[in-house]
Amino acid sequence: MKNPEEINLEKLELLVQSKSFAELSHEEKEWVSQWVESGNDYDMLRKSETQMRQYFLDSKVNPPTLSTLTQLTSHLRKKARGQQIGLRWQFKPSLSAWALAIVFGCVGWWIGQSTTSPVTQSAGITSAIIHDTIYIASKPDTIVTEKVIYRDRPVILTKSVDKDRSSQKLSQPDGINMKEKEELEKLLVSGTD
Amino acid sequence: MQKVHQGSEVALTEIYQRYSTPLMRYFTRMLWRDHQKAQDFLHDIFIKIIDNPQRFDGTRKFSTWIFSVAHNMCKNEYRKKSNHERLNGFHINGEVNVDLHDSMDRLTVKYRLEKMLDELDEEDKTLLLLRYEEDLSIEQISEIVFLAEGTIKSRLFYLRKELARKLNGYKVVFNEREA
Repeated sequence: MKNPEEINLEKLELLVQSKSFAELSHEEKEWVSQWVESGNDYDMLRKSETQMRQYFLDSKVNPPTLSTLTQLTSHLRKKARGQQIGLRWQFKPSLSAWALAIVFGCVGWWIGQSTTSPVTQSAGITSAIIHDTIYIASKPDTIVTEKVIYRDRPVILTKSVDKDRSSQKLSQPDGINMKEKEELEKLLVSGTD
Repeated sequence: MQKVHQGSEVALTEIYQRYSTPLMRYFTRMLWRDHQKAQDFLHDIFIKIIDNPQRFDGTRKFSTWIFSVAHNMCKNEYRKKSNHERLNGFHINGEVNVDLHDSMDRLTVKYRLEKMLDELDEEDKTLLLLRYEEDLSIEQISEIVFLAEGTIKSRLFYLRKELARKLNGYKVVFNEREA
C-alpha cells in the first residue's frame, strides 16, 4: 500500500475534477491506480467531488451584517482615543521634567561661570580671593573617671523661730575672750609655755 | 495591521471587507449553521485584532494567521459543547447513526452533506472546509492547523473516501490492501 501521506493530492483532485476515468491517458490511469482500485471507484470519487463543490456553491451563507463593522469601527475609535489620553498623561510629566532639567542646567552653568574668575579688577581696587583654610575642630572625648555620688542626708527642721535662734546660738563656734587673747600673745612673744 | 493598531478605520474596513465573508462562511459551517453564533464569533475575532494587534506574527501571512485564530476559537467552542453534552449525557456520534445513513438514500445530497459535516470532528471539518470551500493550499492549511502537510494529505484522502461512501452509499475501495 502506498502511504497516503505521499499522495500528490492536488494532482488527484485536478484529475478527478477535470476528467472521467475513461478520459484519462494511459500514464494518468497508471498513476491513479496507485491510489484507487478501479475506474468505478475513481468515478465515484469524481461524483462526490462535484457534489461537494456544488453544495458549497449552492448553500450560500448569510453575509456578515453591516452593524458589525459599525460596532468594530466605534470600538477602534474608542481604543484610539484611550491611547491618545494615555499618551498625553505619559508625556505630561516627562515634559515638565525636561523643562526642570533644562532650567537647573542653565542655573548651574551660570553659577559655574561666575565662580571661575579668580581675580576681578574694578576702579583701581585690587581684590583677590583668598582661600581660607577652615579647621574643623572637634572636642576630644571626655572620659569620666570619677563619679559623684549624691547621698540623701536627713535634715532636722525646727518649727519655732525662737528655737531656731537658740539653735543658731548653739551651733555658732565660741570665739576667744580678751583674757585668753592676752595669754596667747604672751605665749607667742616668749616662745615658751 | 500596523495601521489598525494606530487607529486607522480605513485599514480596519479594508481588512473587514477582505476577510469577513470567508470567515463568516467558515464560522457558519463550523458552528452547525448557527448564523447568530457565527456573527458573534466574527465580531469577537475582529475585536481580538483591534485589542491585541501585537499577537499577529509578522512572519506569517495575515490570511493564514486569521484563519488559525478562527480555528482555535472553533476548537474551544467544540470543547465547550463536548463538555456540555457529556455533562448532560447527550452525544451525537456518527458511527451510531448507521441505520440513519441507510435511510438517507431518499434524502437530498445537501442534507447528507450537512449531516456528514455535522458529524465530523472539529479538525476534520476544518480541513474539508479550508480545502474545498476556501480553496486554500495544503501548505496554508498546514500553517493554520499546525499539522504536517503529509498528515493533512492523508486525512483529506480518507475524508474523501468517507465522503464518497456517505454521499452515494457506495464503498469506494482504495488501493490500500489493508493489513
